[in-house]
Amino acid sequence: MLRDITIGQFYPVDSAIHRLDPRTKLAGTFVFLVSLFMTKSVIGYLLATTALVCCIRLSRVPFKFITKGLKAILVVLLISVSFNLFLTQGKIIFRIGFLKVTKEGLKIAGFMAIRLIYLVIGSSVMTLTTTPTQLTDGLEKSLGFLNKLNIPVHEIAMMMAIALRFIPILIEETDKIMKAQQARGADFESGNIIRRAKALVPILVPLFVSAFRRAADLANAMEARCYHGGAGRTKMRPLEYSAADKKAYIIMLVYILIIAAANFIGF
Amino acid sequence: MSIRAEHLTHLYSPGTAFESFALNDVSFEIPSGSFVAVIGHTGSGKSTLVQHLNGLYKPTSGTVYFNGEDIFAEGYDLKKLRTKVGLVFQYPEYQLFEENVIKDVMFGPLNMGLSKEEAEEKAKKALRQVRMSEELYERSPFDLSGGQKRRVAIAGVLAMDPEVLILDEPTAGLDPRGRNYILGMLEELHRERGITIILVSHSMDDVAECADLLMVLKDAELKFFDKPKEVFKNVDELESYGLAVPEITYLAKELIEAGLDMDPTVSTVEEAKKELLRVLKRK
Repeated sequence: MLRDITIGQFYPVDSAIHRLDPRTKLAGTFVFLVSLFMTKSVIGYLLATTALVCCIRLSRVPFKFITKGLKAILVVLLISVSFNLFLTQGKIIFRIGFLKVTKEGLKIAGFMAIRLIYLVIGSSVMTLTTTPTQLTDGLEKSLGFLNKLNIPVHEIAMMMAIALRFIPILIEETDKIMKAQQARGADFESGNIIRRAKALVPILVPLFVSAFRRAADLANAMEARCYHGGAGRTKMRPLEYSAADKKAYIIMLVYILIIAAANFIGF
Repeated sequence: MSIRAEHLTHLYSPGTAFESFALNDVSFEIPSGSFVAVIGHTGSGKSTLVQHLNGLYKPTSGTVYFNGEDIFAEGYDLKKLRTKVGLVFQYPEYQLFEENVIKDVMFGPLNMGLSKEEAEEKAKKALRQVRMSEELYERSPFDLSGGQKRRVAIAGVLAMDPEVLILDEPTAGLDPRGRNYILGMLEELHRERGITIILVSHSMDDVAECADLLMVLKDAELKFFDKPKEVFKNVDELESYGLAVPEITYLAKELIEAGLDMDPTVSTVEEAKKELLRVLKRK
């Protein structure tokens, strides 16, 4: 069951998107998100959909796998859609009891749902096609200018890399501990809330103990290899832009310009 | 009182790039009261296999029968099964959570619905069986040594009085003394209480000494299921699976090549000693 969590997971196939520089993918995701929030028209959303579908096709990640991440935001999605649907003032289409649905509300709720869904899918495409190491490398390099403002970019990126690396480990660990306690007759599914909360103790205590143990081990291992932070550190594989990245940037530029133009003209 | 697996197949992440067989059409029957060792290289499906035997994993196809009943059938009481088929996970010391040893061991019996007194009695009995001294009962499990923690964790499963005890690499990461301690303890449990024991291991030396039956897994498939001696005859095949026969069997092989006419299937030091004395006296 816990195996199904896809946040931060990498999908190992070789594709045009996988081969792009992580900075390009970060920029691409950023451009896509900006375009989603700029757009107010149907044409804009059609464009965004086309761009997204093209990226997914190019990435060769099965569509089913990408949409798995949507389950996590289902509740947020339902709440925001219903708020927009019922609480927007305007021309009333129909009523259900005291709730009234307006034309404007319907439009805003629809766009809101599409935005949220695309937001999640768009960022999943990035994380699924980029390994956590590449991702943090890309972030570190693209945010390098912040070093001048005395922000420890490398350290933050390193923390992020470690956090990402630990997600699957801790998920696996939780799964294992849960099964071990189930093997001793523990029951997590029945009983009232208090009983269920109590049933979590046999999972959480070992989980915390093991997380601290792992953190201490990792710190020791890093020190043993003379890790001393970002200053003067070189990369085994320095990031370099290829011809494909340049093309990708041009496509992004054209895309955002068209979206802006569509907005300006007012489609 | 047997465990029977029929065409057990387990597929990980079906329909994605991660799809892979964890178990591929595995069938066997483990008679009651036997001591079975499951051997295989890392990733051969050993751990997945044993987790099917107490219903923690559901197979993609095929099933498991415990005492003739299909454990994956609708309405089968898996919670009850888990008290009868005790499973000790790999590195079980990482599941300890209570404030003291005795409370942790009582967790299983209490989950079975026993009263506090009964649970404490069972816990004490189990702790005696794993040879934990009484002055440690009130200590925090986190203050114990690695070997002691592991024994407490094993006691936690034993306290439920299982008919079958499955242990996933119980000697991993222990020093030779800790290892002998655990193996000795298992043999005693098997001999004196008649518990069926299923021991997952990747060390042939560990299992040659105590197992009646040996199960060899390779790439999610069951390759051998026979008496250890019969299995050890297939040295070349075992080696191609990344496994080895016991050190002493290798020694016997070399002695035979050097011209000694002895039994090539000896697998323990004791057997080798007898066999060598027999051969040498005859000369």
